[in-house]
Amino acid sequence: MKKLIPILQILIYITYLAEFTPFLLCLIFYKKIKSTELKVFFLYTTVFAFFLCLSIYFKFIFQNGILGLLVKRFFLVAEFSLLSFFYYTCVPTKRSKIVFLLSVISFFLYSVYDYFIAKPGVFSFIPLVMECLYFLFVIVYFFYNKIQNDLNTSIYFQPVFWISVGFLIYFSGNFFLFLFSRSMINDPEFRRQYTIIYDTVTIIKNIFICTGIIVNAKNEDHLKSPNKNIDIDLDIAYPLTKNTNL
Amino acid sequence: MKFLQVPAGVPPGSNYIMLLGTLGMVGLTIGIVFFVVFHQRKVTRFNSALKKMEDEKQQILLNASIKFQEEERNRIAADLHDDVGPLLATARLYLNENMINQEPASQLQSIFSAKQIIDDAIQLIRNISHSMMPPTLKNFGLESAMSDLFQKINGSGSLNASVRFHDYRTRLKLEQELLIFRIIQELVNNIIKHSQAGFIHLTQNANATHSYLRLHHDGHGIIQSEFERLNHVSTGLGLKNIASRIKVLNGRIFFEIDPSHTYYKVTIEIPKDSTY
Repeated sequence: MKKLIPILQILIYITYLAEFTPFLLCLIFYKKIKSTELKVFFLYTTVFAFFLCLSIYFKFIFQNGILGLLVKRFFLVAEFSLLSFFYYTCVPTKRSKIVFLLSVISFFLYSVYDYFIAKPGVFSFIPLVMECLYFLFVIVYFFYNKIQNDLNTSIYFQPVFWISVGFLIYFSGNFFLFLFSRSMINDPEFRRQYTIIYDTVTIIKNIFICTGIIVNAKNEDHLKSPNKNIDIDLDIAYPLTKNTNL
Repeated sequence: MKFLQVPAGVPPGSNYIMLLGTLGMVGLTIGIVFFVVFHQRKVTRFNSALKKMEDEKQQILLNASIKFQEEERNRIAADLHDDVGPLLATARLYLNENMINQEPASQLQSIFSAKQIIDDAIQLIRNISHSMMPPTLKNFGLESAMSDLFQKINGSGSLNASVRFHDYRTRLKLEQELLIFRIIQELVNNIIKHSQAGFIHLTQNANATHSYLRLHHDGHGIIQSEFERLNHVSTGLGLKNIASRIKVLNGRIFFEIDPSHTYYKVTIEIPKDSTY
């Protein structure tokens, strides 16, 4: 068991690195982010990176659990709102847009309520479970919508598909984890499992998100140079291009 | 890390349930993703195959239309070259320079002959022009043009042809009428050439949105499936021209056989508010 601890530590550091990667990739490919949904996603990664920095600060430097908890609560509401906004831009139906809007308001109100009813200094997993369940439905609905309406381009050429796959794996992988965390977080064996599962799923999520950002960059490159396949200079045969007084 | 401490007991076997649940959820997720990808690929492939078929059909129709145009031009060129050209050349011969040295009676005879030939040439040119746009159709509409056509067929004596227009109070646009006329002309030509029919009857009727024309004949005809098949093979221009004209009109055409198997029907449906 003790031999495993350094490995777990490495896994945690890799997870932190993985959590920052989408934001860094978005910054690198900033000029290639042109669609509304990806702009929203860029905002999400920025907010995510900001809260992650705050979380690391409160965990490792300031070492204040209560403030750290508050940051986590704020982050949860921000994540829920921004991801809802992201799918709001992806799913074109008017009815679903109203549902997204109502869900964000409801989740915000519940989070405020949960803050007051929760014991001080204890992390409440219920909003997390709710978020998982909600986004599992949203992503499945998003895929259903894609199957129904978007039949012209292959789905794996769309960055939103890869991002959604990442989130689907993240939320489905963590759903039971968060559900059981409420009662089992004190169990050392469970906490070890928690770290392994959570970190693995998070790394996989970020790999898929990064794939989505790279796919978007490649799509943009392809759009920029439609004549890439023509490798001859067509103007060379045109006699009036050089040395002409016309 | 006090915030993670929840005061609750750990039920036995919970770890395994949690692990199994997580694995199940991840498995389900992977299943959903694979289903979405494969289903979408299948549908995309089907759509692209359908589009390819549609493009090929369009290409065949376009080729047929270009070929038809070329044939029409060749026919007009041949008519002008073989008929009008020699007539005018003969007229020129009558009106040559030597005419001035001839006797007045011969001069008069030459002028008269030349006038006769020029009249023939005018008539020929008129016939060519009428075959391109029937004057009856232009001046009096589809109903009269159809009656004219069917009267001519009837006049030949080999076929009993009749027309009945039930509801043609408002004329369609001239371009639409010409297309319909050409379609009916092609169908009638086919019936005369291939079906050995004894009678042929054209009926017209309309409702609020569409105008309908139906040809009945008692010869050997074709049904819709044969029309579709013939339309996809590269040989034969007539049916492809019909199909392309119907497409231009935003209409539909149905080839049927009567349930009693005594006669065939060809129905043409044309929308009244066609944008053509």
